[in-house]
Amino acid sequence: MSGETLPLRLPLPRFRTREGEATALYRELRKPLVRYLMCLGLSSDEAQDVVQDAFVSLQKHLAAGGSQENIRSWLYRVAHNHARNRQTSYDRRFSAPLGEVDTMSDEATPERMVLEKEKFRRLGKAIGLLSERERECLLLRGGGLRYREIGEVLGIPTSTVGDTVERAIKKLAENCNV
Amino acid sequence: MCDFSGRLIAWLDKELPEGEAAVVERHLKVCMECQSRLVAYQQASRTFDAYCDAEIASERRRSLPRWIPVISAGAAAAIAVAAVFLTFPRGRVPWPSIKSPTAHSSPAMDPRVGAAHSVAALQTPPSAASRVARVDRRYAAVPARRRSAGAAPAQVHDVGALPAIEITIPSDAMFPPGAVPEGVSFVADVVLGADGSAERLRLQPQFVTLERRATRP
Repeated sequence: MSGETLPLRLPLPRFRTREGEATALYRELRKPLVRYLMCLGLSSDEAQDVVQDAFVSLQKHLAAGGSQENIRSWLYRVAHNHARNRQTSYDRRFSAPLGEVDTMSDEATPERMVLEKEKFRRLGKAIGLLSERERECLLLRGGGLRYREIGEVLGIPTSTVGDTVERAIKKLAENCNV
Repeated sequence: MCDFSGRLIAWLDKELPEGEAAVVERHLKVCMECQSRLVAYQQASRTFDAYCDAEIASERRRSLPRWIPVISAGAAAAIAVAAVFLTFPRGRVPWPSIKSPTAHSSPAMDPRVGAAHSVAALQTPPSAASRVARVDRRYAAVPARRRSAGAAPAQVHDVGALPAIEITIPSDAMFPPGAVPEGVSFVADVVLGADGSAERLRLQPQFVTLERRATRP
C-alpha cells in the first residue's frame, strides 16, 4: 500500500444496514486478520491490502444477498486465498529463525532477554519443522477460531483440524522443550 | 503414555463435548503425567502466539521509516475530523437560554457568543423581542436535557464552562499501521472561536493500558 491510499475513511458503526454490519465486522476482525496474514509471511502493507480486498468482497457478498452465516470464517477464507495468491512471500515468515527480531518488550532485563531469545530461537526452529498446514491451523487457532471454523477456512474436516492442532502442539512442545 | 493425553489439547481448546470434558477434568486432578503434559502444551501454545506477535512487531518496526513522512498528513486529517465533530455540538448548546427575560445584555455585544447571534442581530430589526424569538425557533429542536434551563445568561454565554465533549476516534482509522505504537491514544484539545471554527487544536499523546489480544480460554 502506498502513501496515497491510506485508509483514512472513518469506520463508524451503522448497524441498521448490511453495509453497517460489514463495518462492525471490520472493526472487530481487521486486526486479527492482519495478524494472521502477516504470520503467513505477508508484509504489513500486503496484509493491509489483502484485508481491504477481503472486506470489499464481503460488502459485495452481503449486498448480493449472500449468506450471513459463518462470516468470520468466510472472511478468513477469502483473506487466506488472497494471501496464497501472493505465493512469493507466503513461505518467507518462518523460513528463517528469528535472528534479529526484538523478541521482548523494552522493559525486559538483559538476562530475561537472553533467555527469551534463546527460547524463541529454539521455537523458531521448531516452527520451521511444522508443515504448512500445521502452521496454518495453529495461527487460526491463535486468532480465536474454533476447529469448525478453521476447517471451513482451510477446506478440511473438523476432525482433521483437531488432529493437526494436536500434532503441531506436541511437536512444538517436544522440539523446543518449553 | 496415559490414555487421556490425546484429548488434552482438545480439552484446552474447549472442543470436547461437555460430558467428555468433565471426564478429562476429573482425570486431570489425579494424573500427574497429564498435568505436566497440559502445562507443556499450554506453554508451547502461548509461546507460539508470542512468537507470532514478536515477528509481527519486528516486521512493523522494519517498515516504520517509510511511513514517517505521511504521519503529518494523518495528523492533519485527524485535526480536520476532530474540528468537524467538536464544532457542531458545542455551537448549539448554549443559545436556547437566551429566551430568558433577563437577557438584557445584547448577545451580539458579547465577543464569545456564536455566529448565529451576530447573524440574527444583523438581519432583524433592533428589537430584543423579535431577535430572541428568532433564536428560539431556530433551536427549538434542541433536546430539553441539553438546555441549561435555569442557568444565568452569564453562564450560558461562557462557552468554556460547558462540559467537555469526548469523541473517540480509533488511531488506526487515522494513522497508517505501525505509525502509532500500541497503547498510545491522543486527546485533542480544541479551542473554538466565536464563529464556531477551531482556533487552536493540540493533539496530546496519552499512554493507556496495552490492549491484549483475546486468547482462547
